[in-house]
Amino acid sequence: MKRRELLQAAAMAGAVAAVGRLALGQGAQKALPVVRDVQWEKAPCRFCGTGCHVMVGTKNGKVVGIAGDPKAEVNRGLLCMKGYHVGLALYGKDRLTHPMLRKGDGFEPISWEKAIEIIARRISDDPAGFAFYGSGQWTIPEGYAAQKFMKGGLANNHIDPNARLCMASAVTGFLATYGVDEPAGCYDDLDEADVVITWGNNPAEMHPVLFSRILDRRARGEQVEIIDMETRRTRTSEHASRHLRFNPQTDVAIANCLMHQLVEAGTYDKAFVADHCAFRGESAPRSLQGDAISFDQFRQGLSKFTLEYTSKLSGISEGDLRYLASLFADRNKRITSLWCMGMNQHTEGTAINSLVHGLHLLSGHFGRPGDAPTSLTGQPSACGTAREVGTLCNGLPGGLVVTNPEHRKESEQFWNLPPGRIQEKPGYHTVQMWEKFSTPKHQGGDISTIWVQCTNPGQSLPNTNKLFYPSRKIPGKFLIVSDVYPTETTRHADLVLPSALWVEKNGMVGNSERRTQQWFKMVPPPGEARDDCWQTIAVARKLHELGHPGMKDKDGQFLFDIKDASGKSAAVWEWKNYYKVNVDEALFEEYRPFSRKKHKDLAPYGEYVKARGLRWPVVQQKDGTWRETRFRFSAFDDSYVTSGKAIQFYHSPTKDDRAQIWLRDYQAPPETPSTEFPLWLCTGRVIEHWHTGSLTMRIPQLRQAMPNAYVELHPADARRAGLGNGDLALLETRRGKLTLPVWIDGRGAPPEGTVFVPFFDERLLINQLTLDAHCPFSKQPDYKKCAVRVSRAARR
Amino acid sequence: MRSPRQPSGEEVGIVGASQHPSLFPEGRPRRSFWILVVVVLAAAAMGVLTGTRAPQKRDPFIDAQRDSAASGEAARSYAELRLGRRGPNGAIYSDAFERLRQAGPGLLDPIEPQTEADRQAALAARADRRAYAGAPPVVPHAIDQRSPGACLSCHETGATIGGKVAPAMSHERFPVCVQCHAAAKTSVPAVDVPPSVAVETTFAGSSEPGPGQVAWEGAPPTIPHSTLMRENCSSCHGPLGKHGLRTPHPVRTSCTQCHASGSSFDPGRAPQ
Repeated sequence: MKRRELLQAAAMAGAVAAVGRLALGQGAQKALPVVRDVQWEKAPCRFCGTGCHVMVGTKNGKVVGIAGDPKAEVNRGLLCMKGYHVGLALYGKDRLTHPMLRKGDGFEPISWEKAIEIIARRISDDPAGFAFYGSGQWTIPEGYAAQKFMKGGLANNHIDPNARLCMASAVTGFLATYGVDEPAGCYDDLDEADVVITWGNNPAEMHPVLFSRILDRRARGEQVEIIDMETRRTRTSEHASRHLRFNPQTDVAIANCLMHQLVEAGTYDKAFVADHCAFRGESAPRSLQGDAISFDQFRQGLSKFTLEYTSKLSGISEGDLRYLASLFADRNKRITSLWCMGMNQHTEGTAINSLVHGLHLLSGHFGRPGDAPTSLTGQPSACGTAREVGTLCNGLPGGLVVTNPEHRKESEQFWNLPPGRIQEKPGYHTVQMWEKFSTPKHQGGDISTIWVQCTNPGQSLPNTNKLFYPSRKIPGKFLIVSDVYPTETTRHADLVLPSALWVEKNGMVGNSERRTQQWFKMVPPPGEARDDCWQTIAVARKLHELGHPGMKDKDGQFLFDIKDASGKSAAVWEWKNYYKVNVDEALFEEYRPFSRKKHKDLAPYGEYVKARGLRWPVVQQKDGTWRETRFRFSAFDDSYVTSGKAIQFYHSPTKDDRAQIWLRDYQAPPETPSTEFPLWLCTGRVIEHWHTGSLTMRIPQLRQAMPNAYVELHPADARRAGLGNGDLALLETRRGKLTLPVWIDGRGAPPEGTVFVPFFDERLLINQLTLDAHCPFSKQPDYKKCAVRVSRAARR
Repeated sequence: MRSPRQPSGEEVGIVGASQHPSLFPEGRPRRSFWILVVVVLAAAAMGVLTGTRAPQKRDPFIDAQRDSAASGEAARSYAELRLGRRGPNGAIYSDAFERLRQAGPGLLDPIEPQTEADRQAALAARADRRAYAGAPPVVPHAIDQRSPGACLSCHETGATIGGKVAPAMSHERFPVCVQCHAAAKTSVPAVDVPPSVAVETTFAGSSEPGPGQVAWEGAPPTIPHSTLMRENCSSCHGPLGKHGLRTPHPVRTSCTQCHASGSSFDPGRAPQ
């Protein structure tokens, strides 16, 4: 010990003694643990899709502090309350630390070896009846391993992520419009936009760091007009220049009406449309591809969306509809649209996503910094893993799809598999997968085993009384769950595996603005908890040992035969070897060639180690350096645009460099309030909690701020039901019922006729009431609107 | 949507016009008639002008209670929002806050002696509201859920109210306080469901590493903590700071002139 440290220690000992004496006198004060020499290292935050970087302070194998990373472009040193407390997510007292097998009503601890063997045997007994349910919280290498294991190894396409519930409609919107997924713009647009329109979006609570980035500009004296298109007054509305309230589902009509006005007034961007766009409309039957239409057909199709019709349908005044159109007609203004679950969790999710892109294209508000239709994501790697690695039931890495023979062939070549290994037919999407799992085999329920990683479907699936609970009573259905804490899903599981979380493992993720991020393991996981990626590789190896032919490539090599520096097999399926090599780096480098197929180029692993994330395509320059791309399809920044063109949609669905401006008609929602169920039920999040709260409800600072779920009611609806603040209300839909305390004029203020309930509380499961109706193309369910009735509950 | 309290201009005008025929006498109208006509026309004109005047600025709180057809609203200042939230009689409360504020110690007032025990007690009280050294403190009182900028009433410059100190912000002004600061006392109505997850945490956050180094007796100590988000020293060390942490010379406000920065504690620094 150096002299200085000795002196400090002595001073501290005296001080602690002094506090001890004080404590005896006052009884309340406690001595502080003295933690010095904290090591700081970078990592992206574990929570939402914003992708902030945090500095993680560790000491003696534990996380002891967090700070906003001043070097991160996303968050510039600032975080939100979840980010500042993300380190505490590791330290809830009830972490899962041993594999556990169901025994009667309880569980018994078993060895990892036995657990891996049970899974392998379940799969080899019924390979086609096995499904993998993953997550936008899978790291890129975790998702990649699961993807290769399923589609390349088991020749089974039943793999889908919870991202299906989160941003599938954003994907279909991008594909239908540009022929390739993910936003053209990035967060830099937020620094340049004159107008920011939040479409059914509450970034003040759900993407707080991005929202305050916009507000900071106002504090600097810049003019930013925020227009909140809302169905419920939120914290975002409080900061908005205008908030325009619309009736649920009518955003489709509003977008059409704005395009109608631009076309009729001739104020759309004729040159941009002539050079870069084509028109597309509904086919019969309706499809994701649709049919090409002429401008005249487009105009004709929009003609019903008059100011009068749209105003009556949507509840937005004709003056406000005119005002919105006038903004888009003004090419001197830069307009950024932001959206997330409001547009995605929508039975017309593909339609509204396509229409908002179309509105920006038609008006030419595209391709300049600040002019961007930008879809936000809710999970840290919804983009990086679910979308880019393609862990969807029809996806392959790099934006390829199983239905395309060329894509299958290329993937088989990358993976060195025999031709024909990858199956053509898409697997079950999320709702189908769980429906089949909750249906007896003799009635067509052909999914017998589901392995869940990094997500909590028992709480987050819609209509759980139909999709989740029935499976738990059907003999022969086996549920495997890898997680870090007990959840509604693990409680109903047959086999529970303890996982490592966040900085207890290496990782890579991709945020909403195409930014790929990397971190290193900093602390050991508790007990016997192990990486999800290792779990997948270990099961693959066990199947290999059991003789499953799919676990070998065409040269007889094991699918995950990762080599060490000397070129020898590192045998990473043995946990003791797993961190002797960097498995993340090996898998990422194997995945990288896929990324070049659709110009989503990723840089070598080492570049991400140095950076606070890089936005793809990351293109190598003549001097050997790697350059990220901020604005895709725009010549001034995207090196894949052919020289001489200002804008080029080089993955156009029509293969002619044109983006598609869609005409999609308004469709009524599947369930609307009636005499029996007279109110709309909308569900969502709050700033304190992330998703199902399995992490944030274990963080005391967040839990005490928001300890339980509630129902927000309009005072008039409350009065009619005889309810006041704090009373217990009984909510009933055609699918389930739930008792919740009433909060009037609380966090948000729904309009008369609408109630809002957050879904974070596992004791008050609102998804027993929600609807599993989904968008016909994206298959994403609508959690934002169904019919409910509210009455006074009998006292508990 | 206009406020029902305000009779519209058109109505006033119509009332005037409807009286007109009954006042038409036979033969030549008298002088009093012409006076009446002028009065009626003037009333009608005023009515029309009142009707075409921009509608009154609306109250977001009351609006939110009304029907869902309301749409479109002009931006309002923080002051207006604060006032608006209190309803039509808000004006009578407008200086209530100023009246409640107590005179705090000034920069030149004498400082009571502070011991190491005082310092430790102050640090312990600080730590009670923070997950770790440098964490954003939780808010120890109920908060208004939807009132941007309300926090600044007290915390922008710091205030003493009812013997309690609201410390000034330690960092530059950011637009959304509740982005980072969680409420320690919830305003969510409670429900009687037992906790299903562990509420205890095994997390042990880092504590303030201080005290600073002193080169010789009487030398200015170095800053013993990161200054990230803690640029305003007087927030904790000024006259409103906790007893035990206050500077003995608040009148000297350029702290870093003498106190060397604590950059070695900076989390932004690369790991050693």
